[in-house]
Formats: sequence, structure tokens, C-alpha cells
Amino acid sequence: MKNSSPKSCFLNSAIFPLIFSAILGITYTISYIILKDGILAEASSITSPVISESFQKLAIYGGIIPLLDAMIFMYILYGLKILFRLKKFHILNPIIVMIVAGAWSAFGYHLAYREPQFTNIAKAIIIFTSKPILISSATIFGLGLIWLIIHIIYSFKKHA
Amino acid sequence: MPKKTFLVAIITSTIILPGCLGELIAITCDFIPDSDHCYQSAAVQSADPTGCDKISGEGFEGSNPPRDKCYMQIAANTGDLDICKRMQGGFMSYTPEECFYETAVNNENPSGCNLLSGAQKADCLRKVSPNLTAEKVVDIDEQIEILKEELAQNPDPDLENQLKGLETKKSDILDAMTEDNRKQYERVSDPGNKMVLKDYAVGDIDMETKEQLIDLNEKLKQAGTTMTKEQYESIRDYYKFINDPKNDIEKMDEKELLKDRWNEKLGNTLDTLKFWKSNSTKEEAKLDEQLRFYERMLERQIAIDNQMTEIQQDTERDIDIVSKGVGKYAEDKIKDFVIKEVFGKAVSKANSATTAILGEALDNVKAEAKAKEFRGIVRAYNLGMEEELKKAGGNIEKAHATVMKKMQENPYEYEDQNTFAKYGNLLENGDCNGKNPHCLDKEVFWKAMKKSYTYQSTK
Repeated sequence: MKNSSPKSCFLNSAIFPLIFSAILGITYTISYIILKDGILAEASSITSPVISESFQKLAIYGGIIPLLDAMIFMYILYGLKILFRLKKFHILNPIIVMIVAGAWSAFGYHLAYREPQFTNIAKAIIIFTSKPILISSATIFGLGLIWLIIHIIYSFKKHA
Repeated sequence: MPKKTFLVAIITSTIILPGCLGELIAITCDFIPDSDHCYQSAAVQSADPTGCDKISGEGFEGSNPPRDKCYMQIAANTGDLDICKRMQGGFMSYTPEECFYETAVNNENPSGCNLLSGAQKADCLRKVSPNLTAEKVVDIDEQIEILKEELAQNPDPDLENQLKGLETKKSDILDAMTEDNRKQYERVSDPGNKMVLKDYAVGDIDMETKEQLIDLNEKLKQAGTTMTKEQYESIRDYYKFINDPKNDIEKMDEKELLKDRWNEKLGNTLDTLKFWKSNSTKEEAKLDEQLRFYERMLERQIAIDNQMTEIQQDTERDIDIVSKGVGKYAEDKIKDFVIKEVFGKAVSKANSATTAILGEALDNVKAEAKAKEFRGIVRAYNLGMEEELKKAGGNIEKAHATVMKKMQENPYEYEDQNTFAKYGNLLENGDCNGKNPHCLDKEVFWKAMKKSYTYQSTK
């Protein structure tokens, strides 16, 4: 008789940073599209036509940067988890997601609400990217939190 | 700036989270050929004048325009006039005077204008002074108060310098303000008015109450006295009550006025069972609806007057003006003055009849609401409104005023052949005073007629 090992959720494998980064990138793009009218209205305060036009063309692809960055960092933290022989502690996976998403949320919040707009390049970065970054990273943070709660509830039920 | 290098630099820099944009931009400056403008952007974004020192000014001799522009932009963004003093100036470059001008105008700070001279100074002040409002000086006063309190507990040379800076700024603003703004400042900085403005800022009182209280305070000042905190609170509550739209019977909700109460619903049900009694016609029901307005508004007016009488008594008790050693005669004069100011204005807004008189009016209309006299007078009013509205081009206010005036002079002015009854005595008699068998509270009645007519014509 074969002993079948219990199936683990696919999210607890090394694929989860890829999945969450992809969701981050997609949510960024969707947010940008939804907020585009407001962004373009605000962009009239940028006095450099070169900067304004470049960002109007390229900002929709701006999600690539947080996507790559988040993926790299999540894999770094996942690698550390394996290095310290914590692989079976699946509860750390949603925490990794929340740490990276939280950092990007903090950056997005700082850009959107704290960073002054003293130069045209700063205005462009803030106007075109800050709110999509904030919304997409907050979404990932929220998904990570839901994952964590489900994990905790599942663990209690399993050991009850 | 090569796109690839820019992209790589941005990705690299975003790994360090959360970074300030200025620092992120500065990281990329070493990788690009036109580093002067890059350092300028980085320094301006960070508002860090030491970042401007990295600008070499390549290609310029005897001056460094990109560096000077860097200082000027930071000064204009932050309002710090001392940064302008770092400028080198020179041929083809910006001067410290230009920096003072830009900074003063952008930040509405007349201290910058005072560092200039001649026509430039005059032009600067001309642009800045209309924006120097009383609120700005009040903000500075508050900051000065906080610093003084802090210094009293913890002496600190930096805080003392800050305090001196604020006092100089205040003095410069007061000198440069327009006359109107200066008078406004004197008005709002008065301690009595400050209490009023604080209550207004937190939404405790509305604009009308605020203006009345400030007006009263100004008159008391001219009379040589001020209100104590307790007196102010009492008078404030009185004005607040009077100005509250809920205490204006003309603003009552029409649908609420017409709702049957549970006992009325019961009464109506019982009435329909009395087959020997004839039901109201459609015309009579419409008139009864208008009389319902009158009845309900009378009830509300009684309640308002009850509460107003209580508050009025409390306020009179609390007004104990002390004329600060001027003497008993002056005390009484000032007390009379305040009572006249406060209650004189307030009473004109609400009905001054006593509860007993209003109660009599209410009993009358309740007992005889469906009686011919009351229906008759409402019908006459409606006929008058139809006629006068045509002449007034649909203006209900104008038509109402005319109808009211004409009916007071001749109650049957608008009557056609089909009079319900002789209702003239309702208008010809005085207001309800305990002696009239059929009386009307005219003030409330006319308000009710206007309100109900407007409601029915827009239904």
C-alpha cells in the first residue's frame, strides 16, 4: 500500500513570489487605466513637455518595476527561509508577501502624500505612478493578509 | 539621458525602500553626462542647498548660473531667505535680489521684500500685501504662544531664535498688510472674538450666530466692557437656539406636518364608521389640509416659545455685567444695553406671544378646524392667491404679501358668490387674548397659508 503524503497547497511552493508579483503588475496597470483621466488632468502642472510626453507614453508599463523588484525581494526572503531550514513553516510565506508589499505600500504612500513636487521629474513620477503603486501594493498586502488568516484558521482546525 | 541607464538606475534605486526621490535622482547623476542639471534636480527635489555645491558650472567663467538657479529654486520652494545669500551672482547669472523677490512673492513673505530697495521693493510689496490676511497673522500668533510656553519651561537658544524670527515676520506682515486686512486682524485677535471664532471653527455655531456675537462684542468694547466666559456661553447658546432652523416654523417639513398621529388615525377610522355623518368633499379636504398646517405650526410655535422662555430667563440671570469699576449707574446701563442687543433682535425672529394665548388659538382651530368660518377664510386666501399670482407673474412671495395685506383691510376682498360663512370676524378681531370666541394667531396663520399653498401647488 502506498502511503501518499498529504498534498500541500501549490501556493506554498516556490511559485508564490511569481504569482503575487504578477498580480502586483496587473493591478498596477488596471489602476493606472482607471485613474488615467485624473492623472492626465493633474499632469498639466508639469512644465516640461518632454518629460510629460515620455511619462504619458511609458507610465502604463511602470508596473514592471515594482513587479520585478517585489519578485526579487520575495525570492531573496524565500531563499533565506530555506537557508535557515524553515521550509516547512509555510506560515512564513504570506508574511514574506506582506513584508514586501508593505514596503512598496509605504513607498507609494510617501510618494503620493509626503514627497514634495519641486521638480518636473518628481512631479511626473508622483503624478503618474504613486497612486497605482499604492493601490497595487495595498492589494497584494491585503491578499497576503487573507492568506495568512486562512492559514491560521486551517492550522487551528487541523490541530483541534 | 540614455534610456537604458536611466531605467537601470531607477530599478536599482527602488530596491532601497522607501527612498526620497531627490536621493534617488542623485544616485543616477554619476552615470549621465549632463550631471550639473541632474544634481540641480536632485538638490531642488531634496530641498538640500548643500546638494547645489556639487554643481560645477562647466562652461561658465566668473559665475555659476546652474548653481545659483539651484539655490534660488530651493529658496523659492522652502521660503528660506538665507539660502539666497549663498548665491554667487555675476555675469549671466541670477542675483540674490532676484532670489529674495521670487521667494517673497511665492511664499507671500514681506520680509523678503524688505531686503530689496527702490522700485523692486515696491513691486514686491504690491504683489504680496493683498494676500496677507488676518488668518495668517493669527496662525503666527499661535505659534508664538506655543514657543513662549515651551521656552518658559525649557530655555533653548534655537527656540529663542525661532521666536525672534516669528516676531520679525509678524511685524513685517503687519506693516505690509492692507488697511482692510489689518482691521480684520484687530477684529479677530480680540480675546472675546477669539472664543467666537473657535466655536465657529469647530462647527458649534453657524455663520449668522458668529456675526451676531462678534457684532455684540464690538459694541461692548465700544461701551468699555467685555463679556466673561460664562456670559459669552450663555448668550452664545441663546443666539444658537434662535438661529437654529429647527426653531423656525416656516422651515418645518411639509410631509411631517400632514402625517396623521396614531390618535388621529383612530379618530379618522371611527369617523368613517359614523354613516350618519357626511364625509368631506374633495374641496373641503383640501382646505382641511391647509388648516392642518396651521394647527401643527401653532403647536410647534408653543414648544419653541416654551423653550425660548426658559433660555431667556437663564440668560438674563447669567448676564451680570461688571463694568470694571465704572460705577453702579454704568453697570445698569450696560446690562440694559446687552439685554436690548441680545433679546431685542432675537425676539423679532420668534413669536413673542405667551403660551396661554397660543394655546387658545390652538384650541380654537382644533375644535373648529372643520367649521365653516375657518374653511371659508382659507378658501378666500386661495382665491386671492390665484388672482394675485397672475398679476405677480407666478411669484408666490409677492402674491402672498398682497393677499395678506388686502385681506387684513377687507376680509371679503377675494370672495365670490359662494361664501361658506361670515368669517370676517376672525381677521377683524384682535389676536387670541382670552376674550375672543373665535380667534386666529395671525402671524402663524399667514405663514401656514403661504407654506401650505406652496406645498399644494407643487404637489
